[in-house]
Amino acid sequence: MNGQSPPLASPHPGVERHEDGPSAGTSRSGGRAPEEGIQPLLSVREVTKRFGGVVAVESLSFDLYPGELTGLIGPNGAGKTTLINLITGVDRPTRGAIWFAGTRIDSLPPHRIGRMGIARTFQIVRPFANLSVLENVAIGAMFGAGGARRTAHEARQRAAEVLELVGLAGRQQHPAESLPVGDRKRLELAKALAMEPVLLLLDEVMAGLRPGEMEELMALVRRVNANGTTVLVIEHVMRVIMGVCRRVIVLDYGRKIAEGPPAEVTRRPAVIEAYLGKRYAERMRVAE
Amino acid sequence: MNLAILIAGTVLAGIAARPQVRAAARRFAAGALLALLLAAPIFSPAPAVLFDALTAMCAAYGWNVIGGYTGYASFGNVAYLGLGAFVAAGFMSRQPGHPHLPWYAGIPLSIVIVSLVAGVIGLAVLRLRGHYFSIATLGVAVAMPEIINWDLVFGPRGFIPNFFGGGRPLNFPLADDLHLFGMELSADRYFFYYLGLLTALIGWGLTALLSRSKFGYSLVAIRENEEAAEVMGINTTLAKSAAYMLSAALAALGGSVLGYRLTNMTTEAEALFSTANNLQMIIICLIGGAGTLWGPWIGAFVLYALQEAVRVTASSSTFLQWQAVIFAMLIIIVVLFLPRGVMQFVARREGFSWQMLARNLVAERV
Repeated sequence: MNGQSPPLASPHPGVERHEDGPSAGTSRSGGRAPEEGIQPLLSVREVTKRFGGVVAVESLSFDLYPGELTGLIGPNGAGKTTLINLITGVDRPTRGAIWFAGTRIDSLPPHRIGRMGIARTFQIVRPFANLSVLENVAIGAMFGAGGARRTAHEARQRAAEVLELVGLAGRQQHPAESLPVGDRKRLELAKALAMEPVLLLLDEVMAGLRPGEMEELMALVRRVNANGTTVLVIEHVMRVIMGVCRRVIVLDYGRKIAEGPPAEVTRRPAVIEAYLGKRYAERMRVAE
Repeated sequence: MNLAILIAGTVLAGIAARPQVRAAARRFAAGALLALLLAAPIFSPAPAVLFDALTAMCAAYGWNVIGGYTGYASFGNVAYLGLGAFVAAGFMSRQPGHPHLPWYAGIPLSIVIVSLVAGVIGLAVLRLRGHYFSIATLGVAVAMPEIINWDLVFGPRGFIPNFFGGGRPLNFPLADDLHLFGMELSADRYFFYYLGLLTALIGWGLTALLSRSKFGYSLVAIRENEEAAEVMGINTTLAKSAAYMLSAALAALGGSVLGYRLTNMTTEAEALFSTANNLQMIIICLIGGAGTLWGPWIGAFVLYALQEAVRVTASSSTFLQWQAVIFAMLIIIVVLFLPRGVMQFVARREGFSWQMLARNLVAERV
């Protein structure tokens, strides 16, 4: 079922680590992320986030390696968006540490993290409604990881190239608010891509799209990944991720309940339970 | 005559701002506008009206930076307008204890000091958004005249004794009339008018630079969605502070030139810090089109043209009352039917139509 693996494959093919076997100690003292054969690009270590009495994310740890295309799934309220907010600096973890390319980023402001090369899309798209499509994307090209070396004029040129890539070239001058839902998702992606991210976090970009549109967008994400960008795809719907990711992480109630290749992970009782309920999981067990 | 100049200026600015007009024609219109304004004091019976319009425009360009481009509706910029006038007077006054600097040193120095004050105040008020920001800035506007009268700091035995008068009157020095080739060029007619024109051109010029710069884009991104802007790599705290300081600097520029002409700060303090002054710069931006390069220009000329029209038709005793009524009605009409100001006709392909006004009325407001 997983026919196409990205050309720039994971340095750890068949990466398979389970939640009960942390591969590396939590090095809180040292200046670098936990050691592996290859440095992880992103390293989330024992991260907990509480909002008042609610625990949104609980002692969560995982790594993303350069070039990987990883999925993050979980039912509604599992803490997926909170996790993205923690990585991008919008929220700060209550406990734990997040490392990116050897730097601890969990106390940096969002704009610093953005300039370091982490770009995200928002689940509820946030176009700059009164600006043109081109200007929306140009702002990404101006202030993202590649922004410092560009003038405003060069950023507009770069934005035109990115719009070509996502298939919005014909709509450059349209106000962003005039776009239909599918194109707004593309715009959201284009804004993130224009930042020239090293790590791209996609927060439910597929939600609300028609199946045909989903496939086009997924093909685009795969192409971006093939060009060397590490991608984390956050989805509520498992189906979207199954075909493209070599590895998925499953969250439920803020905890990691499974991690591994999608085909294997989806057979685990804990995952089935989280998605379909306890009774359904038990029936499955009995049937087997 | 002033009415004719203001109407002609509005039309020329409209042409210069219209994107579908050829670039050469737009430049020509802008050139003609400049020529008209340079020549205006020669044939205008009362250039003071134009002077008022131009200094108000400068302050409006200041409001446009924070309220228009950045989307932070400040109701306190009059604090910086008044403070600018007082600080400039403090530096320029010929009274003992003052450094009596010339205007070209005193006014820039005042702008720098006001910007720094705004930077400090900005640290506090820019943490707020929306209505909360507006109300906090309104507090700044109310507090500023009291601070200037603060005896502990500026009184006879304060840290900076008598800088703002401190019981004694504070005056700008009188500007001398110029004698050139046997002609007597009165300061009121020429010197102050051109100083006023200079402030408007500075406001326009800085906005032109801003609207094409990365800084300008970062402000617009903050207006459209601050959280998304921050995640996209914009240091929103820094950008907002810089915008607020620039906004205050232009208010101080307009205010100090305005104050220089009014001369006596002690008697004019109330007028400088007045609510009318505060609202005027906001109304100008709303009429013309907030967050645009030509909006404040068009807005200032339209507003002063309307005032002139009222003054011509009404007797002077009823003028002040009528002025308030017109201001109020104008705000209501513009906010309801023209949220993007006159620039909506200027910038779009469509001309005026009643349907457009109706659409605006029911349109979703941000």
